[in-house]
Amino acid sequence: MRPRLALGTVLALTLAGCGKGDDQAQQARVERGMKAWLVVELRHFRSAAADLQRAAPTPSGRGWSVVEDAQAIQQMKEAWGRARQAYELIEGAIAPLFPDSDTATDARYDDFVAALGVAGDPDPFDDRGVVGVHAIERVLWADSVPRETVAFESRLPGYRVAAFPASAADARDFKLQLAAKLVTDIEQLERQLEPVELDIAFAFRGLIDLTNEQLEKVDRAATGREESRYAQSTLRDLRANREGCLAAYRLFQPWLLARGRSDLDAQVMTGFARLAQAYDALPGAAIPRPPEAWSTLAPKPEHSDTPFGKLFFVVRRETDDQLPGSLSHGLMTVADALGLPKAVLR
Amino acid sequence: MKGRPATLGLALLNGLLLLGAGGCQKALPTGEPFIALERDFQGFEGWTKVNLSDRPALGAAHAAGDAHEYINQVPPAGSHTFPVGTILVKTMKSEPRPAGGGGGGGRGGSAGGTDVFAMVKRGAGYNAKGSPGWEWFELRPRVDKSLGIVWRGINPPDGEGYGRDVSGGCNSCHRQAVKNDYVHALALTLSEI
Repeated sequence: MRPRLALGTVLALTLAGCGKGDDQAQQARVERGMKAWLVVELRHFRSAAADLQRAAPTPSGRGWSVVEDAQAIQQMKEAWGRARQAYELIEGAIAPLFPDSDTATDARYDDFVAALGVAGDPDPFDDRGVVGVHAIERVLWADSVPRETVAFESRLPGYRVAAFPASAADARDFKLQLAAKLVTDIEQLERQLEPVELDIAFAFRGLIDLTNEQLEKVDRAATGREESRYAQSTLRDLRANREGCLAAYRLFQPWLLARGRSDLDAQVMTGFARLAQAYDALPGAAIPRPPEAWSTLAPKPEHSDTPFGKLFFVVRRETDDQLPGSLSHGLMTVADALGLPKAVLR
Repeated sequence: MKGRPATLGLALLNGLLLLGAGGCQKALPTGEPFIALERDFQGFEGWTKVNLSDRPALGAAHAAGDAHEYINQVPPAGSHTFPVGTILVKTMKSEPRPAGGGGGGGRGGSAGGTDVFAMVKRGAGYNAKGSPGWEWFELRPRVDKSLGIVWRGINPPDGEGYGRDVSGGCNSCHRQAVKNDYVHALALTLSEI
């Protein structure tokens, strides 16, 4: 209840007036709020990564066993899910500012092997080559990689089959190198963010990027490059993206209401609700498979009724900033209403 | 612009005078990166201006023609590198690209047919495999004349999000100026400042 009370207090204070001084105060509040939110979620990200590393087993004289290490593997998977949730809430906003860190923590297998070339990554457990959240995911779910993922990745130059640590040395490397690197990379990201004083343009751009992140995920899934492809949890990522976007919007919401624009707020919240409805209509954490012969550029009418097609069309509509009534269009209108520097998109 | 123009000295002096008078940023603690945000580019026309109209074309991003470059702070004499916090903004007249964004925001082309690029000395190991320390930007003026960031990073995005091939794009061209800390402009030759 505390967050609601806090929001209520902010609303009561801000509804009192909205002169220029009030706008400056609102702007400063949003800038501080955005920074504080990013800091908190990065802390959650680091905490989950550290839990994962702690849980990594280093059995004597052998690698991982799905039977004997079942509990540890489950703990690692649970921690991985929390890490993923934390980063997906803020990724859209933070990745453009820290692309090196985003690559180190969140790049996909195909991104890495494209740079590594035909040699690929001979040691998937060390802290070089393929690293980060998805490298760890590829190990944790090595015994259940979906057929489509194998089909996609096996065509990549430098591809190597996903595997558990097969020896005591591999298990040690996983814990002390691959998992440890994720923790240190997140710590570095935190240190980089710490001194930055965000501006209002960044805050609003973050809101738009968090929205567009959802379309990117669906687009990638349509071409076999699904994000959380081993854990089969890309739909959960999408839900987190939406939650993150909503959390960012809530920073602006009191300002909009203080301007008397409850109509626009209602339009934006309806957009968020449509996305939630689309995500909640699908079971589990996995994004549905695209239908055979799916084309993102020219989707066939008969594909629009498939689970993937329904999802695609809802996300594409809500992220189209040129389409009146869409979520993105509503958010851009918020920028106009508040006199914010509008996000300039490619 | 080939050679050293007679006006450069004045321009640099002007820049030094401007330093501290606005458009420049606060001193950074040693080793601290400078992470530029939109506010840091506003009013760049008031910085030290270097006319580049006579220079040859250097690629699609820097076609020959009516181009101008602005620097927020001229390096102190004797510098071997541009200090962290240095911002170079380059504007170029170009064919207007169709703008679909409306209102100066959203998706679209370049308002007024002007392309605006920037390089910012971020430091702290950024872009280590490309042009160490430098971050690249494309900016676009909004209708209200403010500048928005279109993209930023170690290279232009390829639309794929992670296509960070440091052997191409901005780095490959600016690497030719490695002896001048990756800055091509002859008027900003460090050994002559």
